[in-house]
Amino acid sequence: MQKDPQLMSDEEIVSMALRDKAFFAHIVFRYEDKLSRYIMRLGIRNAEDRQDTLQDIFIKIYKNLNGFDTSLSFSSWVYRIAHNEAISAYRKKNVRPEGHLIDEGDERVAREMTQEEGVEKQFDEQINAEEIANALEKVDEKYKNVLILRFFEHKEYEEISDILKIPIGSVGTLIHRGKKQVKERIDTKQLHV
Amino acid sequence: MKDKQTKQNTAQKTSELSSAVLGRIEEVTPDAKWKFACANYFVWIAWALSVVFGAVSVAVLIYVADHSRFALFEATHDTPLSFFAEVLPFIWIGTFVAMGASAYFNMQHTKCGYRYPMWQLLISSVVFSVVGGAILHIFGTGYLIDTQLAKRMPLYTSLERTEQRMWQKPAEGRLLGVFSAMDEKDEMYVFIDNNNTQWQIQTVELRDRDRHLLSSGDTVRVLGTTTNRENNLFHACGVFPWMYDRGVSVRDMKKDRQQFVERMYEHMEKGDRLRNLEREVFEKNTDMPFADGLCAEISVMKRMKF
Repeated sequence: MQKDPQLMSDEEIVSMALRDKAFFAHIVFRYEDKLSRYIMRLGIRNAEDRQDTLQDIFIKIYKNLNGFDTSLSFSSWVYRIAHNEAISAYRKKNVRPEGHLIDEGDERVAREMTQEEGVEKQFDEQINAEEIANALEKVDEKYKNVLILRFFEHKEYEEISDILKIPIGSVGTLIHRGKKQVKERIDTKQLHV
Repeated sequence: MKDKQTKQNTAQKTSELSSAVLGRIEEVTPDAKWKFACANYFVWIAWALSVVFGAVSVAVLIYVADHSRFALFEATHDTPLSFFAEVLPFIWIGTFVAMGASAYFNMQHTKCGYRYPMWQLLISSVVFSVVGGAILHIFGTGYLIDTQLAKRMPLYTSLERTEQRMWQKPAEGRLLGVFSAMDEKDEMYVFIDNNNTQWQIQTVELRDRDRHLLSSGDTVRVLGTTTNRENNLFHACGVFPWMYDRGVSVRDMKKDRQQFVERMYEHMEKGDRLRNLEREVFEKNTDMPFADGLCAEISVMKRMKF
């Protein structure tokens, strides 16, 4: 008797999808929303463009199913492909993306970002997600990528390392420096006000 | 009500996307496993080749370091730095650096290479090259590559050619060659240098050991000064074996250096004695040195600054 696909692990669905293409729809169901949010945060804001990019991402995932490295989690592998495709998509359009980082109800992200290494002392309750989002738009791309994965996608350091293909040690460093830069941007903004 | 509407829209969108994706993958087949395996093997093979070429360059570098006649550097150069600038095989140093970079690049592009910091990847590749180079050197690969490349590529300057070029400079008081015969009439040694030029060597200032070495028929290096360029007369101050094809231990180097310094020191002392004698006898300095004290005047003496 076949197991209910909803109870199957990603890896099990992958092996089923290699035999029966229809099973790939379960991968699409599982990752569509997550990836849609992720690529929006990376800068693909237009809904149509996002749908096109998502299609390309899933086609690429399907095409490369045999190359799935089992030493990674499937999710990290999928995010890696999504990341690369999103970057290619906005490079094709030749414009620097302006991500839409904060969804409604994402204010907790602002707090998470400020709850480490004494940075929180610099902020008060007035700091909101919108401010963080605006500041994040201005930080360097390398910091922005890790900050999005860490604080918006809630990925662990090892997962971020696998998605962005950088050493785990560098993930910590980039997060630390990125947060500093966010703080500087917020401070500057406040000074200008 | 609004929530319900959103959920419905989402479900519709989801099915649209999955239908679109399923529709598109109808014409798509996942790439075969062997393609990914090949790409992975390719990176590892490229890494291995970089390490092997790195090891080869290390083997040649060790060979050059082992065979360079540093002990006599004052005979050919003003400073140790200028000696090494001429002897160091920059092409192999460049190869080693390039192979290190290539090994790092390939290692980083293996499946898990990105997980390790740059220094770890670099050091691991370099360590493999250095250990491999040391092993290759033990089997004489450095010597073999250096000499074979010189035979096949005229533009390649091997250590042997570099050393030959350094010692075959009569105008600067250095000769490389072999003893040919004795000129009984003038009590001179007939010597054929590396350019097949015949020389007559004056040996009045040589030790017996040097004379013996000179007449042995082996290739030797002669340090001295050219006294007559037209008649190819050369005044010898020291004779040293040409040991290019033999590795030098630290002990050998010390021995070489000791003999070299001793000989030069003797010449210097002799020169001083002769100059004093000259002053005593003639009560003035003359520009013409005694033929027997020519060695005290050669440029090596100035470089050594006793």
